[in-house]
Amino acid sequence: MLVIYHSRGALPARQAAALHLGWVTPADSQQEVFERLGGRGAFATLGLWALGCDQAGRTVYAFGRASRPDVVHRAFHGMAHLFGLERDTFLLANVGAPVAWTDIGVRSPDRMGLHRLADWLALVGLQRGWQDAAAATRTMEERLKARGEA
Amino acid sequence: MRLFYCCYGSAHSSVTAANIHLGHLPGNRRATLGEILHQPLFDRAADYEVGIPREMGTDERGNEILVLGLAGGRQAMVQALTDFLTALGIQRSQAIFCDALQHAGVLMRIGGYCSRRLGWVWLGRPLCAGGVFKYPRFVHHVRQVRELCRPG
Repeated sequence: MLVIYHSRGALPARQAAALHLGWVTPADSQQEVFERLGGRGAFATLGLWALGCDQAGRTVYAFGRASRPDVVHRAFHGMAHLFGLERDTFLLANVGAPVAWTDIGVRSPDRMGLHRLADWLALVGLQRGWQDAAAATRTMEERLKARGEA
Repeated sequence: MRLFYCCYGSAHSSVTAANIHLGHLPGNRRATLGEILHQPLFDRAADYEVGIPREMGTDERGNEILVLGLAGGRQAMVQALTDFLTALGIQRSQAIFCDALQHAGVLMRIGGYCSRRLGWVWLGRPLCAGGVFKYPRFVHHVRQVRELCRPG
């Protein structure tokens, strides 16, 4: 089964996915968390980023979107239906607000070459993002429980 | 193989490209305003349908032609969907995603926004038909996609 976290920009999704796997905690240094989540590479990476398998053997992914979360859910479920994939082969969870202002604040400076500013903004986003990350992992746990897989 | 023409809302540019591919619009001349306006499923998709793949038909090679609205960030979504299918054992060659919106002109984009987002169909739909001025780009795009889908 695939567990997929998605967010506006990749970092909040990666933060939630890493929390799901127990890789990071809010007590960790933000700089270490940032490096663990791929650092600046997270700004530009497209597609699903595989983090690893959780204790139940489910593969955990994260990806950054620029679409609305409802569009993401419809697209993934639509693809699964078209290709005859069972609904219980994957679970999606949105992390954070539909438009994360910290993401916009990070990507623009990064593209302009203001990397230190982008890094600093990313750290601020991570620090403020623990609540959203925890909420997303709780949502995922509830969905897994509902499927009898927790 | 399933071929997805993608755009923002699966109402205009993707539908136009898919209809050219399927022969519902001419591939050897510029379509008329009437042909653009009256093509199947043009300017029909609702907001709740954005993200849902819609079947348009099957081409002469047996490829399923679909349209898919991905809102903003199409490149990220296409990559994510491709990775998702690969992770679940679907070969990359079974799903091809093509961005049709890049060929839409300003008129079609403004018209699409007016019609679908604002609900001003009386203004938006005729503006969208102004996409006829960029029609050769759609034809060229479809030709390239057909070349890509050619077996062997």
